[in-house]
Amino acid sequence: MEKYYNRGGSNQVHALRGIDLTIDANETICIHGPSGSGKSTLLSILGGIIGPTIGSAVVGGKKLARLPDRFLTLYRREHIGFIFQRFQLIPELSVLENVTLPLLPLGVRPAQQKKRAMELLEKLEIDHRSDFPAAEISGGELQRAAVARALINDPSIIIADEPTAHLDTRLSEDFLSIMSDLKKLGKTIVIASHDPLVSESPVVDRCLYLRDGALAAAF
Amino acid sequence: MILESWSIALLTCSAVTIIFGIVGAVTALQVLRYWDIGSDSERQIRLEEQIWLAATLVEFGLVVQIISAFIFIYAADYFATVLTGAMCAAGALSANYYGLPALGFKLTTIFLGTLWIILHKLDIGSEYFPFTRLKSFGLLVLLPLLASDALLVVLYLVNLEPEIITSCCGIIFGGEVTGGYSLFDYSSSTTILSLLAVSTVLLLAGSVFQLRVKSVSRTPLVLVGWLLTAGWVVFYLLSLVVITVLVSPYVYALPHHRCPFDLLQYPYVIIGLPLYLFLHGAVISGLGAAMASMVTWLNDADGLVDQFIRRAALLNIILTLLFLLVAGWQPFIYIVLGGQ
Repeated sequence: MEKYYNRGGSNQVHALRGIDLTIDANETICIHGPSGSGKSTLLSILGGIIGPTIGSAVVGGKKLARLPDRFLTLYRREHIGFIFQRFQLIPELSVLENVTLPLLPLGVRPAQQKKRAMELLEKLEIDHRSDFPAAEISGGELQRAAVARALINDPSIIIADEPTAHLDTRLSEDFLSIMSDLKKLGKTIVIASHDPLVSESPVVDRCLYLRDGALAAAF
Repeated sequence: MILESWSIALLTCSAVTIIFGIVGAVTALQVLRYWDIGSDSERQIRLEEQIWLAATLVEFGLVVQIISAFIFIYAADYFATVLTGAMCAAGALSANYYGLPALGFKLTTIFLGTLWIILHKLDIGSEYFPFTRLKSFGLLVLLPLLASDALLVVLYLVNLEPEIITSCCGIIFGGEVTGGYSLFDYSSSTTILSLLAVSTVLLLAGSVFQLRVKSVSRTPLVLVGWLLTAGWVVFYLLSLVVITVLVSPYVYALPHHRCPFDLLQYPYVIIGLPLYLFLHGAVISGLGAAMASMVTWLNDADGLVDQFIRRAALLNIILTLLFLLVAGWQPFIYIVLGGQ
C-alpha cells in the first residue's frame, strides 16, 4: 500500500511506502515511530477515513477505500472505535452527551443510550463526571471519556492515535490497563504511539516500527 | 437579440453545461477503457475518484439546465414583446426553426440527466459498482445532446430578428386552421381519451408489475422496461398537447389563448407550476422505474434496485394522479358551473 498527499504537486508527500501488513483478529498492535513517519496516515486508512493512493486495506474481505461513502460510514459506525490524540470531545457538551453521540444515528432510544453510556462510564470510573461539560474535566478524565465514546457502539476494532501523548505515567498505565481489559473481550487494537510505555507494554502482541512511511522493523 | 441579458444568461448556462459535459465525457472514455474493479492500481483508484467528480458535475449541470429551461421560457416571453405578431412565448419560440427544437433538446437533456443521476445513485448504493460502465456510456450520450441544445439556442438567438412576423399561440396550436401549419390539429375528445387510456395502462403496469418486480425474471423485466419507457414518452407528449389545447384555455378563461408557457406567468403560475411539477415528476419517476427494471438483471446483489423500483412506482402513481387532478380541475369546474 502506498499513500501520497498532493500527488504530482511541488508539495507532494510520500506518506506510506510499500506497506504490506496483516493484523489478526484480537491482536494488539503498536505502531511505533517518530513524528511524521506515517502512523496517523496508516491509522486513518485502517479506520476508513481516507484511502490509499495505490493498493487497498481489506477488513473482513472488503476493500475499505473502494466502498461507496454510505458503506464506509456504516463500517466506521459499526466496527471502529477511534481514540484521537487530542480526544476530540465537544467541550460544550457534557461527558454523557459526548459519549452517547455515536448512538444518535443508530436510532437508539434515549433511555437506552443513557444506560449504555453510564455502564461504560462506571466501568471507566468517571461516572461521577457524567454531567460535567467536557471542557471542565481533567486530562485523564478526558482520555477515559474518549475511550467510553469509542466503545459505546461495541466496535470490534479499536484504533488509538497517540493516546498517551498528553497523559502522565500513572494515567498512561491506567489507559493500558483499559486496553488489556478490551483485549480480553476479543477486541482488535491498533495503537500508534512513540511512547515506550505503550510499545513495551505486555498488552501489545506485536510492535511495528515505521520510518519515513515504510515498515522498518517488527518486534 | 444575442446581446440581451436573457440571451447572455442562456449562453452562460449552455457554456457551463458543455464544460461539465466535456469533463464527464473525458472521464467516461477513461472509465470505458481502463475500468477494472478488481485492480488496486493507482489509475483504478484515480478513476473511482474521477467518476465521483463527474457525477457531481452532472448534478450541478442538471440544476443549471433546469434553470436554463426556465430562463429560456421567460426569455421567449420577453422576446414576444418585441416580435411582430407574437403575443406570448409560444409565438417567440416559433419565430424561427430553432426555438421549439431548442426547448425540446433542453427538456430531453433534463430527463436524461435525471435518469443518469438515478443510475449513479443505484451504482454507488451497491458495494460492487455494477453500473459504472453503463453510466459512463450515458455520459457519452449526454455530451452531443448538450452540444446540440447549445447550438440550437445560439442559432435561435442569432436568427431572432425584430422584423420577423410570427404567429400567436392561437394560430400555432389551433386546431381549426386550414391551409396553414398546425402542430396540434386534434379533436379534444380523441386527445383526452388517449391520455386517460395511456394513463390507466401505465398506472396499472406500475402498480401490478413494478410493485411486484422481484417475482419476475430477466426477459420480461427488460421488455416491460422498454414498453414502459415508450409509454411514458407517449404520456408526456399527450399531456403537453392536453395542457396546450384543453387545459390552458380554461385556466386563462380565453378559448383561443393556447399557450403552454403563460401558465408559468403570474397569476396562472399558481396552477401552472404544480401542473408542470407533477407532470415532470410523474414522467421522471415512471422513466426511472422503467430504466431500473431494464438494468436490475445486471447486478442487484443488495436488492437496492428492487427497492428503488417499488418506491419510484409508488411515487409515480401519486404524481400521475395529482397531475390528472390538477389538469382536470379547471375544465371540471367550468363544466360543473355550467360555463361560468
